[in-house]
Amino acid sequence: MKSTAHAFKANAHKALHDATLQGVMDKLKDKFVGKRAGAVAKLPEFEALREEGRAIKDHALAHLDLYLERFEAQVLAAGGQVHWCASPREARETILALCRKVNAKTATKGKSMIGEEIGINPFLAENGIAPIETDLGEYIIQLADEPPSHIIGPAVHKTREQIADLFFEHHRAYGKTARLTEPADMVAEAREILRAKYLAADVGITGANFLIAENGATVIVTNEGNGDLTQILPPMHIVIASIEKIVPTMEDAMTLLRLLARSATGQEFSTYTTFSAGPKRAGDLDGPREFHVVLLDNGRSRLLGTPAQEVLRCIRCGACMNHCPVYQTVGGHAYGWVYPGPIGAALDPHLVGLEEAQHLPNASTFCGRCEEVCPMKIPLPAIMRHWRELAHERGVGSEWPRMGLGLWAFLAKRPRLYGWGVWAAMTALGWWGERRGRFAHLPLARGWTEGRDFPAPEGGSFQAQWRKTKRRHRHEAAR
Amino acid sequence: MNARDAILRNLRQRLGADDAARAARVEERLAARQRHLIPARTAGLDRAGLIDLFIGQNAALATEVIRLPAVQDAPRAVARTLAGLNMPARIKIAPSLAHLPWADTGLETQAGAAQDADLVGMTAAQAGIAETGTLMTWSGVDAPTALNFLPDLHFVLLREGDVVATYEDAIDRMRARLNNAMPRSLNFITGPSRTADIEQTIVLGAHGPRRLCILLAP
Repeated sequence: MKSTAHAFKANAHKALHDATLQGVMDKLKDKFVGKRAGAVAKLPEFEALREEGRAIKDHALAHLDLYLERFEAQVLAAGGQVHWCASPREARETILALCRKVNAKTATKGKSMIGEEIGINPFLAENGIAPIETDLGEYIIQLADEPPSHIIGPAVHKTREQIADLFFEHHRAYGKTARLTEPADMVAEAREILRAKYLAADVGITGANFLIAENGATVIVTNEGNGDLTQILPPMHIVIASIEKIVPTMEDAMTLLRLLARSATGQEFSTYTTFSAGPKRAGDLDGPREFHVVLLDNGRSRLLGTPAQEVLRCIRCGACMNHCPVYQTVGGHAYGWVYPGPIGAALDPHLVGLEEAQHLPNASTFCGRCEEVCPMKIPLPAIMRHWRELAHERGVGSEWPRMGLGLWAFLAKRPRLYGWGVWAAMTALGWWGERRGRFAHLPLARGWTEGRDFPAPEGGSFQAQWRKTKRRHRHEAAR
Repeated sequence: MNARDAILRNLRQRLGADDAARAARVEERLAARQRHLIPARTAGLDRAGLIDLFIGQNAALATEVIRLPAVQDAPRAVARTLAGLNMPARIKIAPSLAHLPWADTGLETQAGAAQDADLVGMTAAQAGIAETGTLMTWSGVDAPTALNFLPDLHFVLLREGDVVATYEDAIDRMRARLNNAMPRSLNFITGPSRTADIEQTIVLGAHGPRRLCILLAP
């Protein structure tokens, strides 16, 4: 997916002035936050499970090469194939070659962030294969030709009216003439239209929430059942997954699954959790004839051993962005790439480059809510701080903050000069502002005075008052 | 060097090469299949308690649960339900259910894989997991997977003896029954299909079944 993360400031500004979006985001935050809180309240073991989840993923990552090899062996034993891809380009070309092998005209798709990462949809379309999103949220944004704004609900930024318009415009081709506004009616219409596509598809492409080393199974988790219809009906099933999705055993997977739905939507368990191991077997009445797993690295291996490596524990629940005050205010599109919110701030600099994503780690107040709600205990603020430090070291971004910090550091290392400078500035400002008591405008402080007045200093600096008080106490003690 | 070798080499460089200790830990973990923390909500419940919990969880999910006096009553319960809903008396069943007494019900019954035209389908669950009211089923020559997803109304037969406490219990049963082999498709189903993609309003029947009806027989 093409990144517009460099334009975060402009995008965020636009989002703040988008009344429709602001209305949607206002309603949204209570829903996701409240639902998760409800689910956590119903499970006393939730905190302990977070720790177990962290341990499972840390172990898997520490032995990732070995578990990947075992996973591959098991997929092969089940009659499937594994394709290793280092880059998005390799992954796209591998998937295209597989589709061409069966002369595919259409490919149904389950929701996949990796699919977005590698830009598989436009690539397939360019090459004469129509990708058809089946997750209702993905289907909606496909009609709108927009990127997803949330990793769980890609169309959360859309209002019912906006969706009604999209359906009305695009469903005419199927002979639908009524503009529907009730969610139940809209879902029923989408169900009908997509049903035909499921059945006609030549290839089904899904992501994977987890890859199980023990038995070579790929796991998808949906509430709609779209992923299942995508992967069972067509003659070929392609799974696209990044390498860090590996977990060792079924038991490991179930523990992580106890955390996933609760953190994402506040459900105890998603409606459909499906483990798929290989193509259809002799005597099976349905199932794909071919089963392919495309394993993508795209920089994951390079994260190991770096301060950002814990981001690899992510199970894509979306809790961090649901609770982030910045995301809650500007929405996902402002972040400009596949992963928005705190996980985006932590991961995107690695995947699209620090230069491109530099604003994202800075789009944070470090309130720490993301880390509090992350089921995998990823230290998101610490990782964002790491990117900020790296950006400073490498000279990424505007000169001014660096120069300002440099000047402050120069003064701070020279306390007497610092003290004198403060005294001089305070005296001047105090004298200048004595009449009004405050400043509506101040040079170099526009960021402050745009929204509020700056109070004029009264009396001496803290250090001067401290010295005076100490002197007075010394006098009193001497008497 | 191909991508596979490059990726593995990259990983080993960072994680510590081909060392015997790491390999041993991996083998040990895979063999042990150790369970992690199990929520206490099912602890100490007997079969009846588990069944109550299973039914309660499903009530919250808008799943209908019909308790049958005997498994032979299943076809009649299906016929009654369809009549009550004013639905056509036609059903596609998984071959594993063909031995039940369908003949006297007046239902048009076919056994096999699901087709788009099948409004009503019925499959068998291998386990019911009380922890969250989840059904577990897997594919086989007499259990086509798509029959759990294509129909509008999905009946599932579950035996009381197959109601277990946790996901781990259900998985251990599967391993025992299949001699440690993994089925092609292992499905956990918790309630009917749903979506909240339009203004966070829950709508049932997004792509999978709109209605889920569990027939629970001794």
